[in-house]
Amino acid sequence: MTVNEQLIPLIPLLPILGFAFTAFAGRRIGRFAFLIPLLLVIASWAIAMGVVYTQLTGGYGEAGATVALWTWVPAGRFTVEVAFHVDNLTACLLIVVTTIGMLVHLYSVGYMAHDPGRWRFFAYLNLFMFSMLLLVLASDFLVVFAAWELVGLSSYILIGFWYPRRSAALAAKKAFIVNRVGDVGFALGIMAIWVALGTLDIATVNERIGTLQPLTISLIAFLVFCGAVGKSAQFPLHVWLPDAMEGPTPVSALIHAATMVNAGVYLVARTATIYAHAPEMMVLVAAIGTFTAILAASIAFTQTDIKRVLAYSTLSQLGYMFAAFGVGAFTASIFHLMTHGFFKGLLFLGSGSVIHAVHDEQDMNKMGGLWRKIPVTHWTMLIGTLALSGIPPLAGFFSKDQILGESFILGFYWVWGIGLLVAIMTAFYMFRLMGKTFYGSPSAYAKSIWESIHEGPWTMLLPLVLLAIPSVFIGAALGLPLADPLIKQWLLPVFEGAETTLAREVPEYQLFGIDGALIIVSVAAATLGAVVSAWLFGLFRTRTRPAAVERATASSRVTRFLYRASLNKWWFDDLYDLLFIRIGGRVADAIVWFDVHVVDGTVNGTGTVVSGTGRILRRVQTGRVQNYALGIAFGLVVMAGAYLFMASR
Amino acid sequence: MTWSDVTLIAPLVAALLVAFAIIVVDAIAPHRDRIAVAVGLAGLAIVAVLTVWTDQAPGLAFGGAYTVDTLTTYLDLIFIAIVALTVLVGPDYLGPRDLPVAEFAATLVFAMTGAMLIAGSADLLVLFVGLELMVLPGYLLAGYAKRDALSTEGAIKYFLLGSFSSAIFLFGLAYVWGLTGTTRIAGVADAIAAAQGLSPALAMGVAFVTTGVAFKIAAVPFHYWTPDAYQGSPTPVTGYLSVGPKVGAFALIIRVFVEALGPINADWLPVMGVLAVLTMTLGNLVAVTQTNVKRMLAYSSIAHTGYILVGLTAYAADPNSGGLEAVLFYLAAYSFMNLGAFAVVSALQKRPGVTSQLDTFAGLGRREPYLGILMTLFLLSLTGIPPTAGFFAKALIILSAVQAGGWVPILAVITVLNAVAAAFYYLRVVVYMYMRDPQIEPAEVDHGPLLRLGVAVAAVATVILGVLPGPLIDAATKAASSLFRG
Repeated sequence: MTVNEQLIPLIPLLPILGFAFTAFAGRRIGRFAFLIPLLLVIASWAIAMGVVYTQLTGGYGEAGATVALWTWVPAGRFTVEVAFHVDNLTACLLIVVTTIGMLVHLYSVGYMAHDPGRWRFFAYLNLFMFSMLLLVLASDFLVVFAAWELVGLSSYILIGFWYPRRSAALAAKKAFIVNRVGDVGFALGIMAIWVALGTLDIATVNERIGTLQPLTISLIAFLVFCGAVGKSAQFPLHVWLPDAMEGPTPVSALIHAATMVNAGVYLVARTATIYAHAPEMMVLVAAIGTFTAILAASIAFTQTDIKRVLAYSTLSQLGYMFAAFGVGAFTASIFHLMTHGFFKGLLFLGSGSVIHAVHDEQDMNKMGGLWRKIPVTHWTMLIGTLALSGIPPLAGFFSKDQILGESFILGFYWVWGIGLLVAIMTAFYMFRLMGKTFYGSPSAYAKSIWESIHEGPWTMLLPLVLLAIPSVFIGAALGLPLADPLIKQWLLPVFEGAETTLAREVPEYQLFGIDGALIIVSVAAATLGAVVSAWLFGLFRTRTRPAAVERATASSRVTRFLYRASLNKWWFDDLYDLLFIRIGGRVADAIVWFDVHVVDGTVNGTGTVVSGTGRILRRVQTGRVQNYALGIAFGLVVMAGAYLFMASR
Repeated sequence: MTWSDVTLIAPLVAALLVAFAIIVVDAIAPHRDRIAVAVGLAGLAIVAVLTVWTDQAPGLAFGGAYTVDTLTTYLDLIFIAIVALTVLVGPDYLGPRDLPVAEFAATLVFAMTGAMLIAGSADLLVLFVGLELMVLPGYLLAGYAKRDALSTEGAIKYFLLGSFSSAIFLFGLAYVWGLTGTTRIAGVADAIAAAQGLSPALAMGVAFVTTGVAFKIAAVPFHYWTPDAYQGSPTPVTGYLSVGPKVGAFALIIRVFVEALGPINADWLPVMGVLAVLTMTLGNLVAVTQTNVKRMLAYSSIAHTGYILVGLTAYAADPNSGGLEAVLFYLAAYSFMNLGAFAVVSALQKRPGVTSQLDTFAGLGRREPYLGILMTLFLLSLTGIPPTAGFFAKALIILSAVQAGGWVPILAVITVLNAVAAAFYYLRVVVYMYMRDPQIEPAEVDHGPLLRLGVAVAAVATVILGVLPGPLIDAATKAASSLFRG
């Protein structure tokens, strides 16, 4: 089976049609406004799967498929082509984006059933799908940037979907502004590429980047990475993602777990050749990734809002991906992107199902013992948790092990060490989440609504089940055989150039040697975290031990400090508040003073001149025809004088 | 008169017949506005088809007095689009004021015939006849609300000053004819090229011609008529006057300056440059102080004339700079976005008595979201923000000025500064539409389907030219290249 490459433009086109239609007609259609967007996204998914299949089986040939649509900017030397390019990397992203996008659309039918603005929600979701698909398909940096901004815009309007709620409006604004910081870097990076190479075509840039000065390459790599840090919420721009949980839960699943936040990882992977020429920047990427991974994991320890725990977990896992990219394990980074997309999407949709069941309550302290009441949600979330913790043979085990194993083999012991610690912490906070939500005895609040707790409609449960399947199998499907996994075979052509440039020595895979040992260590780490957590917070009917938790945190000054640091998110929000709101505000006040007293003075001076000129001009505009005619005659004389002067030269 | 003469002027004849048809239909079925409009639009469609058809076999007609080339076709199609859009938008405004719609449409089509004659003229006399045919209906339209004192006053001023400038223009043509002994444009160009340089007598002639033309395009300091004529006219007429005669006058400039006076381009280059700077700067300066949107758009149309003159200057400095292509693209883009903006203004003024003050726009974004969004689109395009038609129009002008070399790149800088200043008064309207609440909630207005269609067409054109400008740029390049025959 091959799918004609001319169908590729339909993949982003169908969702934007859905957006246009729903935006104009949605209100009138009312309750069933979700139908058109849903069907179009399913159609887009079907085409995408066909394209992915054709691409991965070599149907489009060595270089992949390129569909040139039109020349957007045909201004002399500066041309921008709107063209879609599908290679194996794009194919991997298409699998994640379209599949999860489709399931989230389906889930939203149930989740948003009672929201009067449901048509609006589906229109926005379609807009997001278009932007995200444009982002992964575009073959030109400027188009990628346009899509990048569109993704940011749709994220903004979806976080602020319930905009009458002040916290939602503020969170949307925060996400938008923090992202802007990274985007400025990305924009500068694109300009630097244009100045240095005279082209914005991504493939050409990857080819020619080696001809530049090392310093220029490093600068470009750094600027592009700024964009990635913003969109993928890495330290120090990580503060927007937890707040973004103010958006409806399907949005959190789609945008802030499975797709948009991966855009940064995709961007650096797409430009891997640039980074291969700037190895010191790769170390920076690895450092930022590793640091974010442990920082976010430590915060996830003490959060009580179910969605926030998952948000910090997302930050931490994205950190893993950047760390993998930084050490040169490009394939592992994309592999983890894919597996994480599925099980994190599952966990978020599951948390939405929990929140739905307990009447829009998100505090885990008010839950407990829910596993009997909402079994489907519980079992699927347990699968997601096991997958995220890295318990074999679920999806997360394979990708996480690849990351940790390759960091060790490539000699980045610090990445491996911290990564291992984060793996323990991940298993711990995920089982804490499960224990507080589903096990132990119900809290007072849960008891008070016990009778009315029930599972959501089938539209909400079906996506959970459908996401649980890849969360179990996709790791084994892509990660076996361990020595030469399928995902490596897929992505080899994409990263070949970068890997040749890096020229890292990778020894033969030894299942019964060092590699096997590393697997055992990481499985042991995950199991340790899970077991300790299950002992403290309970598993099924076993009782929890809150006293043990309190004793542990209160045991010494160090643990007390760590507990407070985690609870207060290491005071980053307070630090930024001090730096940018209070100190920055002072600076802004000073600038305002300068503006009022100096600039405005000048401007008012100009204004006086202008309005003075205006008065004179108004006097010219007397409304009397004779004067006008005289003016024209006068102009004629000047004109004749000018021409005569030129004739006399 | 040969058969090919007839086929070449077929679009012109058809246009005249369309105008007559509208009048006849109105005589048979008086006050059936929809029928008159339908006849007009169908007729215009036929004219457009004929225009494209004659382009298949271009050539000279009537012994070299009239020409059909790619440029003629390009300009003719813009004229047809302008008139069609105005006919779509007009009835909604004229109807409630008891102004006849059929005559409005017929007068517009007559004016269009004149403009088409200019675009295809290969002879200075034909050109002048075309010019008068184009502007006379314009005077009529300016005074269309004949019970309105302001309208009548504006129309009379427009007429008096217009006649004055036409006389000046004709006087200049007489000089040119006296010195070269021919009125054929190609002949004039040859004679001037042979004479090598600007003689004092020719200088006088060119000065008169330039003055006359500068009046027609409302270049500063010959713009005095615009505020009065624009303010007094019914709003759809103002929209038409700000694009139709302007595009026609630029067609005339291309035929006279680029073709006939092409050999002395170095001599009119500085004059055009100075006119460009004065025009865009003063237009913007005064537009900033306006609180009436109609008047603001009138002054800003002066500023746009200045931008177009920059393209012309770039062409005069270096024919390979792409200046002429930029001018042609700008004319098309400007027609759509400006007509669109005026269409929204006239839609708001549907009920008699509603002014075009800024306050009228307060809260429009909430009251009428579609009109609000589309007005925002037009204003963004007029400002020159991507991805709209106006962005590429300005970008091409600025690029051509940069590539022209010499002192012309200074014009590019002045253009950019002016565009920034223009953003202030265009975006102020957007601020009113979305961030101000009206003092008194205005009554609901029901817009007719024709008006909706007109605004939608203008909006679609504005977006398409911004997202997919390639085909039009190609067409403009082809049209410009048809001038370099000799």
